Amino acid sequence: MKLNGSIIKSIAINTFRETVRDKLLYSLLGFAVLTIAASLLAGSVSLGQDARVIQNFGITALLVFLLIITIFIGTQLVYREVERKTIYLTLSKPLTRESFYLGKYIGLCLTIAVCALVMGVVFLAVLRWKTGQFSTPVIWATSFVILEAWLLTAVGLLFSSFTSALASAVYTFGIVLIGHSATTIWILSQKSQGILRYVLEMVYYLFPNLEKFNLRNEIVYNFQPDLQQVLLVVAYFIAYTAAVLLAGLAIFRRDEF
Amino acid sequence: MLKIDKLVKAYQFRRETVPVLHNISLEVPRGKIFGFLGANGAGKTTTIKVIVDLLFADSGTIMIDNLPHSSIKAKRLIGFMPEQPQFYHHLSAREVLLFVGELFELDPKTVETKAKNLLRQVGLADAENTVVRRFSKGMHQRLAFAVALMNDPKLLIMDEPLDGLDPLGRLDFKRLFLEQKKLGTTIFLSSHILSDVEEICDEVAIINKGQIVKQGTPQKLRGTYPTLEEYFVSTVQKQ
Amino acid sequence: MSFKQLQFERISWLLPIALLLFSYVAQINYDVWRRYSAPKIKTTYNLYIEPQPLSAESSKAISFGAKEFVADLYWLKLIQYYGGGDPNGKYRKLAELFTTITDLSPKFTAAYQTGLLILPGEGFVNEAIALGEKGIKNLPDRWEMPYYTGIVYHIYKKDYLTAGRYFENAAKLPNAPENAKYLAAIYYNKGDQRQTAYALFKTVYDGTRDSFIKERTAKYLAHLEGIFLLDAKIAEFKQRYNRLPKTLNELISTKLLDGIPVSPLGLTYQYDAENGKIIETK
Repeated sequence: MKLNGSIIKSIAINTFRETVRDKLLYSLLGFAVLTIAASLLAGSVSLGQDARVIQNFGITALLVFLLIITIFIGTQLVYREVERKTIYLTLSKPLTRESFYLGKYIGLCLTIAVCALVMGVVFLAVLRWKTGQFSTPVIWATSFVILEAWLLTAVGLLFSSFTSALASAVYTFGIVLIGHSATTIWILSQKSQGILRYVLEMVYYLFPNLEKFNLRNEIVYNFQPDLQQVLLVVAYFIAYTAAVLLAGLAIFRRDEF
Repeated sequence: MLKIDKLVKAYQFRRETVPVLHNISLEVPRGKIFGFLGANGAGKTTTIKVIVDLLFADSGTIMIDNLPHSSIKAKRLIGFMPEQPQFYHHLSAREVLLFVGELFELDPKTVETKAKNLLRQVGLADAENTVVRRFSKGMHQRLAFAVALMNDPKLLIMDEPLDGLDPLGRLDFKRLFLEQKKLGTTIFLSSHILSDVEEICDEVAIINKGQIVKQGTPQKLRGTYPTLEEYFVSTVQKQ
Repeated sequence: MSFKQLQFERISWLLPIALLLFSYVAQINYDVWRRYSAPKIKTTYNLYIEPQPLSAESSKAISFGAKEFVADLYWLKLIQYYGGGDPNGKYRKLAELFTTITDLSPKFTAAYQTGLLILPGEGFVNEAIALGEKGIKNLPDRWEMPYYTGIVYHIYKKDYLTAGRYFENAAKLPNAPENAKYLAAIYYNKGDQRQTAYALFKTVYDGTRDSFIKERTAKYLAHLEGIFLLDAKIAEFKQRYNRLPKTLNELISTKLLDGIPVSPLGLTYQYDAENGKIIETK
């Protein structure tokens, strides 16, 4: 595996530029910001629980929109390169496919981080305005949402390296649902008997456990994760993402265009 | 400069295997313009895609200046212009060239002036900052040629470079090819417009149904036929 | 082009407008029929208004990790439900909603408080006590949990000894109101019920920052103040005429009162001429 830092950087920046100049991304981002603002409305009819409702609605909106952006760009971008034949331009140049793939991934991660940052700042501003407080738990929860989105980007890239854009979007969405049901799946597996138990446990360990990145339920209780928790989650993220990226690369290396 | 030896390639469609190239061998001499001729579906584009590493050969070897074609070193020598070239819609013509410069890891100091010169050379000086999305087909073609020249290639590989150009554009391009030849660049181009090829190529190879049928200078191949086109039609029909 | 075609093309743009108008007419008619001919629909309870909360387990499964968010959705639904008024007079799903919300969000303090406050009044006394116990378990540091449960025991169960135990527990917790202990003592002595109830509500009213709870307790306080006023006037009447008034209107005719106070809780003050006591009825 030959990687070239400066080429990865160029491809990442180009990918970032491509997504940022995409009008669709703006509309999504605008919609997300609107939804966070709309949580204000929900808060106002909540019988004095507005701070709580705004926090829960806001962080959920942030998650949902970041995941939509992730699924959308994560599965569309590589496919679009092939569709529009721009991949001819890039892959015929002196670079390895590994560099191309990683560059794409990093560029997408950059876009996701920027989107999350925009939404996070709006969210914090709304909270500050309504509750007069600066919420550190929101920062923790948002950072974990970003990690989750980064992991799913790798998953989306893996799918788009062997199937169509629509199919990989659907599969990635499936992974999101399974990943967020991790706790339910575990409870079910412990209640089941025999072969079903092994199947459910296998599902639990095979699919990404996205609930590990879930600090969203704790923000209204002003919860701060401890260092060990953060380190373990980051380690889980790195290991799982690297595995998915390597699997995707193994396929992409053999792709023909 | 470019040496293809016993190249075999088949496409897999589910369980079906469709052979495209059977045992292609050819050699492109240094500093010449080499025409790669064939009807639609003969295997021209497939061969070219294998050379630039977009497809993988089933067997056979391709050497560029005695380097394996998929090596980074070999790729540095190649300028590639695909059929119906497309670029990132979000970039301007200048940005496309700068991006390509980055991929070739060219000196960032000279890359800016180089891009400017190339755009002038291919007649896109006015469209420097126009987004590629707004480009016409001919402009895409011109930009693709500039992209192919970005790294001062030793070997220019072009798939149907004259396709879709108006007569003036064709004339322009032929002049540019000859200019490149004067600089010592080897040019490998595929085409089905034989009159153009006859005019500028030093050597041609005819591919039909995945096999090289004939190779030689246009004059020698034509022999007694009035034009290369008539020779081509009779050779292909005989098969 | 024939005359007929021309005619149609000229008026064709009218067609969508006419159809739209027709749809409005149909819609209005439907609404009128629904509103004034309700018996035609053979459902005892209006399923469109009544929320159908899922079990806590199913809610957790479909929340995909956003438990607090789903709890909030149910919370908003509950407010709509309770605030909208039930045409059938009984909020059948109220207790169920509180259970689901607090299962999804076990530390949702305001949900317990609100539940303890409104559930008993709607006939869910045992459910309210269960909710209070759950709150005591999940929020062991919040004095409101045992305190509010104590109130339920006092008012609806008339079990003053148990109420006193809850108040004593509440008094041990941080930030508990100073009079919790005092109230507990009164309970053990089984004092005057309405006066203690008033004192209880007053502490809740003064202690809460929740606008809904404040509003609700203010209503209770005003209701009890109405009773106290009537009691005082009856006593004054007895002192003046040496007998009990026959009806409440006698208080007005003797100029002791300008009018019978109206309970903000929607209850009516009834007068028991036998022993001169005020009873509240619905």
